[in-house]
Amino acid sequence: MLEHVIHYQIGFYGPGTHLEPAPDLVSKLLEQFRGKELIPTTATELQVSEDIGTRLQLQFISPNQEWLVAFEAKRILLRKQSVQGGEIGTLGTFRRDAYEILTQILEVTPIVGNRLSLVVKGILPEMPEEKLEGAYCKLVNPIEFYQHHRTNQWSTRSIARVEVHIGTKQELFNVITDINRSQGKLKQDSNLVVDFDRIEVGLDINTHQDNTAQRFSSADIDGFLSEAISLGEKLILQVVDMVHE
Amino acid sequence: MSEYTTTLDELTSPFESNVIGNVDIDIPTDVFTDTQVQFGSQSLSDSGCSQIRKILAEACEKQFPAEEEFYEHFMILLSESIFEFGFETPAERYVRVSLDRYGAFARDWLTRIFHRHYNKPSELCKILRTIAHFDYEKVSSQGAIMATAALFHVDAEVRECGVRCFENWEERSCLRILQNCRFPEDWLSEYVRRVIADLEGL
Repeated sequence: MLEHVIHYQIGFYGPGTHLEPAPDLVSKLLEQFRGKELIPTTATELQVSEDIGTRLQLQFISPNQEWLVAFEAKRILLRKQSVQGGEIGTLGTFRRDAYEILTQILEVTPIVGNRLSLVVKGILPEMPEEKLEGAYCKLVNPIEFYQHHRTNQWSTRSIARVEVHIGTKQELFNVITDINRSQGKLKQDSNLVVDFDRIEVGLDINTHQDNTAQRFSSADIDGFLSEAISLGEKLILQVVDMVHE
Repeated sequence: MSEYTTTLDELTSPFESNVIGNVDIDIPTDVFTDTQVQFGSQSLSDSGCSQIRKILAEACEKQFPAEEEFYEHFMILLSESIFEFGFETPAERYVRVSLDRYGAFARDWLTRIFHRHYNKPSELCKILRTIAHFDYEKVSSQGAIMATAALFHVDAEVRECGVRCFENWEERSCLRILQNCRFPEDWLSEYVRRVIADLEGL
């Protein structure tokens, strides 16, 4: 499985997701989030038209930057990222917490969504060079040059469309898997930084972009997450099996 | 009708650029890979995006040192500030100059400093006392958001400083925020009642 999760992310798409940071609205949301340590903040958005202008976007973040709730132009974004000294937890824990936050938001601003997405990004445990190279050869059929030269960095993206039921709704999911070989630095604590060379896995499971009908309420979120997480866990297992077989 | 899909935060990671949590992935790419720029429902061509990203990159390059300088200088001034009624502190003077010079950028910097010190009540109180002395319009909306966040802080003194901001700003549109506040401390609840009465009388 993933040894280090970089982030989990949920997107709830629909009209009216952008919220201006009006103090009255902020206090209502803070009341909902009481006990969660989510602090309101603003991000300056760029308006690109004849001139470049700006407007404010409401966001909530946790003091250690682990959680972000952003009211973007086309989606409400919930992201939990790995932070130094913190434990990001399992996908199951994220599902529970994110579902709670989203339903609390939708109680204050009832938005009917038209798309849902789940994103997971992380890295696999260390493995010897031959396994890293072997994974590349299993995933792609390299052109002649790369058959004769060691490939230090590579990336693949696979997208499939799958029919899934969320309750009574039949949905078409984009199931996207990115498998990359990446180098970077792993901060184990404030003083210890270790270089790594590993396989990075990114999953993006989302409802199809062509279906823009407004049909998702808070009742559908958990059903979506259940299906998406089930698919995601299956994909990660298959990546691990492929690398080690 | 233009759309807004890029935030300055995505373009400028103010203190630890390229660090994602405890994992720093070294992918050879430029910093604007994840940004999207759209006109209405039509995405810009790659070259159009590149042009805009270039303009933004130049703007952000100018902003980086300014924000770092602001942070360092403001924190020094704040630590030396003694708040006395009727006197402007050096920190306040510095914020005033920065707001005039950098506008919305400076308000965003203050917000980020507020977050960085969220678990340090004494620093938060100093920041709130500083912004409380400005006109509401001068520090809005970020100032009001900071004061609202302060009302939900675990530390009673921080909450008091949040109330004091709304008292000083005398902004009737903020009345409902105070009306929805519930504090366990009697003295603070009494203070809020007085401020609400004052605002209602405006």
